[in-house]
Amino acid sequence: MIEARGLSRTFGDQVAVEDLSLRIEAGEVFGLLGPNGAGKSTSVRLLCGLIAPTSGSAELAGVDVVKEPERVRSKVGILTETPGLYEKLNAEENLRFFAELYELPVASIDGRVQRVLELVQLWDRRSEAVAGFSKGMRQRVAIARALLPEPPVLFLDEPTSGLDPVTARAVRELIARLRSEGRTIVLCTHNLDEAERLCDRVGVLNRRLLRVDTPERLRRELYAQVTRVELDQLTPALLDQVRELPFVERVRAEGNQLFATIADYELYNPDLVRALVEAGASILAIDHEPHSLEQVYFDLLATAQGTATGATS
Amino acid sequence: MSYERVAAIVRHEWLGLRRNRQVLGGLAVLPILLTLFVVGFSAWGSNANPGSMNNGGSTPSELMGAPVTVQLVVQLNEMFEFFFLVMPASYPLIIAATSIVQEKKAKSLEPLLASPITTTELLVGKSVAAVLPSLVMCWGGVALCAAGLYFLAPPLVLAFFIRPAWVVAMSLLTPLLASLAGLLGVSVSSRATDEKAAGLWATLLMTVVFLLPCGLLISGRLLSLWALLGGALSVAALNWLVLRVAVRVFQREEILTRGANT
Repeated sequence: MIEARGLSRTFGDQVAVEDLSLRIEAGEVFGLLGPNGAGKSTSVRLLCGLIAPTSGSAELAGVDVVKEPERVRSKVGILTETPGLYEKLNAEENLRFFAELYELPVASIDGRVQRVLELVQLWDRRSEAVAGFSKGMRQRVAIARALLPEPPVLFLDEPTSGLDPVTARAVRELIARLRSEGRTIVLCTHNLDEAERLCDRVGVLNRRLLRVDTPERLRRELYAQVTRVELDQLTPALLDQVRELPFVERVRAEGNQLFATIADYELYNPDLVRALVEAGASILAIDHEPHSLEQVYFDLLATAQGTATGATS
Repeated sequence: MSYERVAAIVRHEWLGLRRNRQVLGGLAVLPILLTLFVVGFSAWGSNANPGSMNNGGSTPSELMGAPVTVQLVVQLNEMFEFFFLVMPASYPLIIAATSIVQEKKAKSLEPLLASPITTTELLVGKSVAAVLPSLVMCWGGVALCAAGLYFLAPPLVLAFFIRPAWVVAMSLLTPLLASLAGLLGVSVSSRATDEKAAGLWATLLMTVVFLLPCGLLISGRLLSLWALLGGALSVAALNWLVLRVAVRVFQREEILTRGANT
């Protein structure tokens, strides 16, 4: 559905995005993660033909984003960083304007406007001026606007940024519903929990794309799982015995708790328990501690920063 | 260029204009006042006692033999006609000059530019939307004037008011000048970073736009119909040129990325 090959964009002498290459399949929810200034919004603007790349190329639904940006824009729905609604107009008028810009068939406009406003639960308030809407409601109108042309691809730039937890959850539920409809979604977010829950794959961006994979695989690849065992008594000898086990990569102790890093916990946890019991340990509790996407993210950024520092120093 | 998208912009701008009674009222005031002046003065002046009045010695041949009062009314009406000619150019310039800069401020330009609209469609739509209301009000004023003169003034005053050169000027030159003003306004607006700067540049450009009809019509009777048609053609060419330049200088990317570093 989306394919970028070596996309780069500079503003003056500042590199915003460098050598971005990725492929996003139809029906996939792809998360773009990165700190402020990492190039997320620029990447979105490049991928949907809003700005031209300095070098590289990209295609969206088979259309070249550099050669035919208008055609690309007709195939995407974009939720920009700010809702950018017309304050004096009501929600319905805001949407009707965009329906006309997308040249939707006149006969279908009423139905589509109603459908998207119902989807964001604002149909009952369609006649109210947007100026009186809360931040969350505005964001929902902006999402409705992005959905209006029923685009095959949706770009959502920080959809829950600045929203209260209840509204943010409603927006997340809406994205999950769109995901279940099989839409291709590119989601820029700071919220790693959101990315983990909604995205099939994530790309960690810091001007360059540092890594792309499923949140689960990133975790597995970057970190082995940690098994936590609570014992009635943890002795140094027992710790040494665990350290000797071939499938254990690292061991640390905290009081009577033992943390063993194991390459594949599903495979080796029974062996670990067996070894502990055979060594005479009394096990009170056992569970495993998964690394969050947040840890993966910070680690990737730290590694990239270290590399950059190393390269420049 | 998609005319549907241009029409969408025009409808959208009008919707905003209809909600702004101050602007709408401002658009209506001058045509109403001019209509009242023309009709009122023509009705009163044509029937006034000539006394020691004289016409200043520059009587057009069509008015030879007419009463001095009628000659004076006709000549004064020419001055009002000039206002009718340039009025539809002044409002669009101001309205268009703020239209894009306001959207930049409200951050509504990014979603707009993210739609399939092209720069040409956006600029043409904005400028047409700014031009049509004042043009309609101006033409409405002229029509009311003609109706008033028909009922209240001597036939010669009306005949002079709807003389061919003036009708051509109003129906051809006025919309073209208004359109030029609209295009200059949106060009200024797309480059300006705030409304004050846009307003200042609009005022400056207004002077330039007003020089054109001044040059063409220092006195309507000095120009032939063909000279007016030629003038209209030149302004049409100028419109095309300004649109091309406006599209070229419209910094779509800079508008989208200004202030953004992500």
